[in-house]
Amino acid sequence: MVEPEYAEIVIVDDSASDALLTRRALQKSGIASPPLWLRDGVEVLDYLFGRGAFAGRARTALPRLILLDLKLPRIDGLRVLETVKADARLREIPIVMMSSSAEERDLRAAYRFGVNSYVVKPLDFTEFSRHVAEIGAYWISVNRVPPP
Amino acid sequence: MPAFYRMSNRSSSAAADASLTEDADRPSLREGPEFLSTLPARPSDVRTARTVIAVSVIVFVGLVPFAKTPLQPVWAFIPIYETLLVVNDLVTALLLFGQFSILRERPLAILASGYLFTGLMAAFHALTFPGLFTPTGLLGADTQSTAWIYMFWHAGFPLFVIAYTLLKGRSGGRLPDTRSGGRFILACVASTVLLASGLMLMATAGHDLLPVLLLAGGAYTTAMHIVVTSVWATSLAALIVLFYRRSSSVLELWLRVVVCAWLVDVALSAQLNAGRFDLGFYAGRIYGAVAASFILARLLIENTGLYAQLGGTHARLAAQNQELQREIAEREAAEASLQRMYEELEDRVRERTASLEAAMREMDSFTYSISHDLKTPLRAVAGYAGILKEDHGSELNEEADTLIDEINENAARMQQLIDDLLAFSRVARKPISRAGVDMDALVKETIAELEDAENVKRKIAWDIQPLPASRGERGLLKQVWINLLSNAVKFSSTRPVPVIRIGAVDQPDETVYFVEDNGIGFSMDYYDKLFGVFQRLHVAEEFPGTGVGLAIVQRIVERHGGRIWAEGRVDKGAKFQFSLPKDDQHGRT
Repeated sequence: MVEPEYAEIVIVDDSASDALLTRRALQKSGIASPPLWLRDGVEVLDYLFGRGAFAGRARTALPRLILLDLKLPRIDGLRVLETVKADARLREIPIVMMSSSAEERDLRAAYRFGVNSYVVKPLDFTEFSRHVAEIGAYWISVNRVPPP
Repeated sequence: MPAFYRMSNRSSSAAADASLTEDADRPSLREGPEFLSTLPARPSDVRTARTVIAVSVIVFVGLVPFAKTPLQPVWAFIPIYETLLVVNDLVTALLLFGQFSILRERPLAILASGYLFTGLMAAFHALTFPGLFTPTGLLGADTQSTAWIYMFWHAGFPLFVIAYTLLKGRSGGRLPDTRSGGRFILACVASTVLLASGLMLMATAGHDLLPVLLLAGGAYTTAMHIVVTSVWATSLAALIVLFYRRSSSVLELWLRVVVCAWLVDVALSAQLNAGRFDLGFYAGRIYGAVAASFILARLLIENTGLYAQLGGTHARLAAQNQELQREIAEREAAEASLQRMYEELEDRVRERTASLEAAMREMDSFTYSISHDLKTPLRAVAGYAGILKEDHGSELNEEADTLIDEINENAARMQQLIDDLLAFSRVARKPISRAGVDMDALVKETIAELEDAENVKRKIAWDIQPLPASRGERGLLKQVWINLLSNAVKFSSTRPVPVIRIGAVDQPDETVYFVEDNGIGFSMDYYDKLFGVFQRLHVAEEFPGTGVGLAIVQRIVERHGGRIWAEGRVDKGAKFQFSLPKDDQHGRT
């Protein structure tokens, strides 16, 4: 499922339902450009580095926000985070970690690798939708990043 | 060790011979060696001595009428008798000096000197005896020399005995350890030799200065009677002193016998007889010889006895040594097996620890997976139900709407169960950190939060007593209070006035905290389910909960080294108590 070449927001989640709920919440909050959904760590890294399935993609077109699930198949969220934050070109992309758990060691690891925010996904539909909308609004509309 | 047995056999047979006049229970070496001079006289010794004295006196009395009966001069009698005396006395002196060198009691050396003196004087007596070696006697003797030497000799020995007896009773008789025993003996020997030689010289070279004792025919002069009576009196004095001191050692007992014989000797051979070679002369000399042998015989018996003891002790020590060696070997074997068992135990503990750690790791990854993966489908359920309601609410009838709410509630409940279960397993895995915890503040904080969370602020009558501080992990202890207090609030909510009492009992080793309410209580029949995971004693509709709270509380308390228990009655309230140790050593991970 390769969506448009450029997306303001990239959702990385192996759960289709979570991705759907997230996208729905973002779109309902009035964010114009449709978010890109990637299913695992390999896909997101290929996308960001313009390789594999995304070979030849304009590498300068970087997302303004990555919503990254912690537990992912193949390459997990923490490894993706570590790789992105270790890369000089990518490290300025804000990454919000979205996780089902609030395990202490996950929180510590995420912040050690330089996560910009860590959010525990609420179970309640209304609450979940509100959180996602707020996150999108903040990082896209309020937050400022250096120009490319 | 056959050598020991041979030795002890021989010694014990000698000891058996020696013990003819003694009790069978000889003193043993256990309390240190006993000597003639220190060994107290036992009744058997006293009896023997009395018998000897009695026999002596009877024989003496029987001999008195015949003392003057002239007999054939047997010249050989004199040297035989004198040689016997010299040898006896010198050996006795030697043995007594030997005892002195061990016991270092100076009186013993004096007595030894006395025996040396009689030995020397006997020798001089024999050498000067007229007609024995030369017609007038050796050493330049004259007619009176032998008689005077006899007098000096027989007056001298009782004086030594008196000196011994008087000194014996006094303290300070012991030679100080700083002084050499050998040198003291040498001094005694030298002065005794000097004394004896001096007396001998007085009787020979100073012959003419002394009164005449014997007439040419051998008859006694008046001077003789006076001198011999004085000599006899010294023996009597010695006997009196010996009896007067009432000293109780075997040596002194036999000294009394010796002095008695000495009295008889002097009386028969120089007082009651008529001159040389009559019956008194011979009988007295025989008494003297016998008297000289008493102490020697006792000393020799004692020596053999001591040898027997030594042999016995040696054998006993060897047996004890063997026993000790055996015990040491046994102990070493026991220690070795203990060490082996300890090592085996250590190995087992290591194995068990490793398998426990593996199980822990497995459990860890298991709960980690649960916390991540179990919630995703749950969120999908709740999420889709939410979308259904939001996007298609207008198309749903009232029943569908209620069912969607039901889905949401159950999803939320499932979420709570998962969270509680994770909390429970986290308490088991996490190491406990300890610090001082202000329980008063912690309880106030908890109550404030509970009241905030309660939608309807009910009137609860809190009865909070002062709580002693404790040590533990504040976050976990707060969890304990939250669970216990929220339970108390929850289960007393149906009361018109809920009463919740919080307090503590200070005990030597631990502090016991309690939470008591007047709520619906519980039946003690189900007590064993109270702290179990997912165990609930009330229906969920009436009192919501997952049934994990008390299990978590119990685990936290036990991780802190404490205990938790409860009592309750249906409809009469419940009281939960938990203890926390004061000693920091407990429950540490």
